[in-house]
Amino acid sequence: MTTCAECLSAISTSSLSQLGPGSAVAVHCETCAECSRTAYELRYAEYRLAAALNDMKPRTEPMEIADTAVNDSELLRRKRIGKLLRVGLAAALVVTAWVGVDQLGPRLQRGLGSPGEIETETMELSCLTPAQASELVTPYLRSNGAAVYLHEQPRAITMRGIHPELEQARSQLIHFESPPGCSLPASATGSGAANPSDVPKGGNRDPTPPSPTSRDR
Amino acid sequence: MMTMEAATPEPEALSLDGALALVRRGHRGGFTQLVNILQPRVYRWALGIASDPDEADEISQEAFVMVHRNLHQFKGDAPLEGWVYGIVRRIANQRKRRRGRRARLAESAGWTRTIVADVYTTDPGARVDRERLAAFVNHYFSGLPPRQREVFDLVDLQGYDPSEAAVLLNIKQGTVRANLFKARAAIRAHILAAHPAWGDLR
Repeated sequence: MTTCAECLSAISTSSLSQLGPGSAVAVHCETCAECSRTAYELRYAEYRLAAALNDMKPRTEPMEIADTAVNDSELLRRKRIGKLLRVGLAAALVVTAWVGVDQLGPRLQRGLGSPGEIETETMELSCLTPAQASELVTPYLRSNGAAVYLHEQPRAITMRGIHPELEQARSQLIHFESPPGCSLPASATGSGAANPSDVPKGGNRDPTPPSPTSRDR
Repeated sequence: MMTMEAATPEPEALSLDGALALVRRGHRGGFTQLVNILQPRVYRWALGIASDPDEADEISQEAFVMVHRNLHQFKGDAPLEGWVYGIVRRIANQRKRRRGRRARLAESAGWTRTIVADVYTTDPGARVDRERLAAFVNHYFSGLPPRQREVFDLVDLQGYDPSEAAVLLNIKQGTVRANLFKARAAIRAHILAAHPAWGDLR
């Protein structure tokens, strides 16, 4: 014989659909009004809950849902592709910038011109003789292919060498050709470099340092 | 026990597998067929998780977007229903978290909620139904952990077998039964408490 406590214990955790006719709970409920009422209340409450949820129908038509899903899905796909493209472009930009800085940066720092590239530069001389100028710049022009060419009329020197060498040679020439002029000491060349006969007379001196007459790359 | 068919009648002749095959073949109307079959179930699942008809509509729509987008990833080694249920659950939880975050943000910023005019302004009956349902469901499910609530809804209210629920939830059948046991006990306690013998049982 099932007691009320056993009946409650059974219906508290069992599936109500399993408490059909013939079950111990059903037999007990036939004799116990209180348990019968409780079981009925439980069934009714769960039926109402299920009915409330199951009777609620979606407001949107399947066709509309499907169309929206297809469109939104396509939109999401495009957004994803756009995002990937943006990331790709940004990466390409970064790589390009990096390569550019890597390749161009040192050249810019050296003032254009790659280290191995031979350049040619001709300078007109106003104070120094071509021979003096040659002796002055030769120590700086030491790279492979470097050379010095002298011109007597007009007085000029043509130098060939890599960019840094030419820079140094030019600065030396400018230094010794600058006013008050012809400041090359006699001991510097050992061959009468400061020979007054080689130096133009005072009135003919060019007060400004000579500028390169031609410069080839 | 209520059956699945009774809860969500399928309005079409094609089976789920047939519709899936159509989609896979690139048939234009295949996806519409699939939606036609799945929409009542998806909506009901969403309603069970969200307890709000509007929210359930939104979840359904988002779920079908994800289904369309990711259907090519579905291998077919598990039931499509389970795969779709996973999507519905994920979206519902995401939306819940998002709402929670927004509410916390609004609260911290001291914003007040503004009620905007919606469809219920012109349809008071629908509003009443909606509020009644939400109150009703919340009354039963209040204090129930989400997993227990889900299991109870699937098995006792929608009529799924515990083994089917296990597949949908991707958990072991024993876990389904344990959660169902606890959920029933919690939900029925307030009715059983009115019985004179309840004290003896406790």
